[in-house]
Parts: sequence; structure tokens; C-alpha cells
Amino acid sequence: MNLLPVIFALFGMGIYCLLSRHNLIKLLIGLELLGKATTLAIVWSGVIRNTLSYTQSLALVVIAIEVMVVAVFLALMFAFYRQSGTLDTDDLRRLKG
Amino acid sequence: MIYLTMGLMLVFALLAIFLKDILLSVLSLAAVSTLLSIAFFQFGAPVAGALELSVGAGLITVLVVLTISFIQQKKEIPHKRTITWALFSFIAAAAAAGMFMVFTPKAVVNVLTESPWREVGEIFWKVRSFDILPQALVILSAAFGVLALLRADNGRE
Repeated sequence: MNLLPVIFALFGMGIYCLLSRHNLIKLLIGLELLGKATTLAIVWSGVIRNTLSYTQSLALVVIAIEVMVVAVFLALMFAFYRQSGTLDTDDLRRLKG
Repeated sequence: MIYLTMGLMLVFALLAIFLKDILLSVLSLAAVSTLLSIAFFQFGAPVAGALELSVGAGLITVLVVLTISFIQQKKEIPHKRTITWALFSFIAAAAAAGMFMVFTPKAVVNVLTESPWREVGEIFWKVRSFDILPQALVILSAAFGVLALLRADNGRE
């Protein structure tokens, strides 16, 4: 059983979502997919190296940090929405300069 | 069984990216989290599985759905799609997979290892006690950052 294709398929989907989507919530979904690929890679490495307890403790921290990233992202998104009334990233360009 | 879990996870990840309805996208992401936690339980990693289920599928979904309900923008504004980004993502993921396979040391696959909760707790609080405190401070500072962001406009109003 090899999970590398699944891990990198999730990783590729996350990158694609971040690069191609223009909605801020879709960007958040892309970030989440990258985080899930990372968590899966960490736990899977523990399974194949037989260090599951240690990698589980690493995965706990990654999941906790992921929640904080989501919280900060949502707060920034909400602040942006209150100013511009949209979630489209093309409108973020108006903030330049 | 693990192949079914992984296959469903990829299908829901694709749905999360390509569905036009934002709410359905977020629910698909919650399904990805649930399937990931099922996979963790199948690997014999119940601690990570329980946290992923409660936080990834529960808390994050609630936060995002709550924000969407505040914002009231349920649909994605359509944009012209470019095949370039899809190609770039595929090449980046394939390159990362290639590097991972080249540089990962060969190891014996040992699935469903026994891992009691107590052992994870001991590693977490004893072996890694030095880096847990700074990480807790990082999370705390992020929480204060969120409070500051949400409070700034309230004060103005």
C-alpha cells in the first residue's frame, strides 16, 4: 500500500485551487487541501517508519496551527468584505499602492 | 477499505474545488476531513484521527459556514479558466512526488501499529515540551490578531 499518489494528488489539487480560483473562500479551501496533504504525509511517514506516536504528536500541532490559519484568514476576509463588498481576488488589486 | 477511503477523499476534494456553490464546496471539504480521520483510524493513529474529526470536520466547517452566513455571497463569480494553471499544478505535484520518492529512505511498511494514547501524550508533553510552549504562544498571538482585526472596524462604527 503506497499513499504517495494520494498525497501528491491532494497537494496538486490544493496548488491548482490556489492558483486558478478567484474567490477567497475557494483559496481557503485550497490552503486546507494543502494542509490535509501535509497531515496525511506526516502520519503516513510514521506508519512506514514505525514512529506513529511521534508523528501523531506532530500531526496534532499541524492541525492546531491549521485552525489558526483558517481563523486569521477568515478574519482578514471578513475585514476585506466589509470594505469592498466582494470576495473576488481581482478586487484586491485596488488595494495596491 | 483504505483504497475506498482514499478514492472518496479525492472525489470530495475535486468537488470542493469545482462546485460553484460555496456552501456545498465547504461541506465537501468537511467530507474530506471526515474521510481523512477515518484513514487515520485505519492506520492506527486514533489521536490524530479524533482531532482531525473534531477540528477539521467540525470547528473549521462551523467557522467557514458562519462567515458565509455573515457575508451572504453564496455563489462564485465566474472567471475565464486557463489550462496553464492546471498544467503548472500537475507539474509541481509530480516534481514534488519525484523528489519525495528519490530522497525518502527505504523503510519497511508496518501498517496498523499499536499506539496507545498514553504514549502519544508522553511524547507530546515530555519529549516535545520545549517546542510546545512557543507554539502555544504563536496560536495565542494569532487569536489576538483575529480579535484586533474584528475589533478595528467595530470601533470606527
